[in-house]
Amino acid sequence: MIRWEVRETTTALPDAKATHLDRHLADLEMAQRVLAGDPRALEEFVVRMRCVPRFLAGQNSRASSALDEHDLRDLVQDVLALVWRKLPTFQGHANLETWVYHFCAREFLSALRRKRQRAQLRPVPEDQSEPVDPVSSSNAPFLDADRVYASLETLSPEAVAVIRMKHFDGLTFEEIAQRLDISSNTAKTRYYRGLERLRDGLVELGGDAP
Amino acid sequence: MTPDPGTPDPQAQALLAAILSGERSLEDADVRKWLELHPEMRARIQQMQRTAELLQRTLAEERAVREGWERRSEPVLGDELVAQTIQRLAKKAPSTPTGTAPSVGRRTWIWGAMAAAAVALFATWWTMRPGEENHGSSTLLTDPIVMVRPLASVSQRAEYAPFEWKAAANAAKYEVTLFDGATGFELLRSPSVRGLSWTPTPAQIEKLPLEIEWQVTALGATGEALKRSRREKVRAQR
Repeated sequence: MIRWEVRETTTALPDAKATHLDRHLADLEMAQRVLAGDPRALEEFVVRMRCVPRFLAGQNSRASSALDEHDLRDLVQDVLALVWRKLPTFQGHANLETWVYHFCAREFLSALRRKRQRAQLRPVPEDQSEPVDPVSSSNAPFLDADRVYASLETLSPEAVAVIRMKHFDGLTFEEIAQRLDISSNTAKTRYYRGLERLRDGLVELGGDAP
Repeated sequence: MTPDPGTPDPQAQALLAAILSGERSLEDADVRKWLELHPEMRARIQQMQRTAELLQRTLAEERAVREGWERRSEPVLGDELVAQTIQRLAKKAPSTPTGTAPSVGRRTWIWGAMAAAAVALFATWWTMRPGEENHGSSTLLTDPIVMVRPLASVSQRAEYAPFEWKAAANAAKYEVTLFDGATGFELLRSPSVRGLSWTPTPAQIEKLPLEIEWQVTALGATGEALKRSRREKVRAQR
């Protein structure tokens, strides 16, 4: 006997329990429907893009609220415009939020830089010996992140998948192998080669080896 | 054979990966023995360790931001901007975000503008008409229709409870979408139905997980979505 019970009303986002590949493919399909002008896909896309203000607010919170409310609102629109422009290039190698997070991270850093430039252009108050520098050493992780994300974009999707599963999801190579249906050794060699290329990319971008 | 320092062989790459990712320790007996045989690998590990650490730091930071913020349900600064901004962007490039739509003549453009104005007027009327709650400027369909009623008890699988809902104003037909309760993925979409209930076929029921979410969409005469209910979670009890 089956009885259906109402348990809760929810507008939940897709759950992380889904396999990576399933989610990525579903996201790619949604992106393609958005591009084709499907209004329902656009509606779903809007809901999913609520991650943008959240990511930016989260990054700002970790950067000692370097950006004010006005800056953040501008940034939300900038990131959305960028995501929209880039949507045709979304390949579904990562889920949509991961893909969007990179734009948030990079645009957040750019906004910090712009803020620094504006602060440097302002006259220094008499009671303040040093100009305000929002991109201070405490924000150095954002500079590193910018280089890392730019370098990750140059890697093969297979390498990025393994690297992200290792460092973002915290999986063992055995678990990664199971998820990707490859051998553990293949997962390891993909990781190592990805890491090597990443290092080369970081050197090219930053001029020095990390 | 000593591996080429430029390109370690696959076996060495696998071990290096395990070391650099922290799965293996340099203190492990077999790793120490391997490094004694391949001393050139020590320099490589040192070289790569900083990259691995930077990667770990960056992705851990991403994880911290995302875990802390991604699923916050309360409104966040800029939330209301998302729908407005995307709609504005979509209007600028109605066919594709890249703006690669073929160019149109002036006459077509004027007709398009008039049609868009008519749609906008209709949307304004729709959201502002008496008795309807106005949820802002969004024309997206996120309002609940009305009370929806998925609950019913059945004694046989074949007599699976129908999904039932109340009529929505101006709706010509309805469509039900079922989602996996665990993942949120769409599982099944009903055909358009003119009545106020729909029952999946026994074959469809067999494939459903125990916990699902469902949502009903009210469609206009030409199949355009007018309103959409919230997703409602239901669970089968055996």
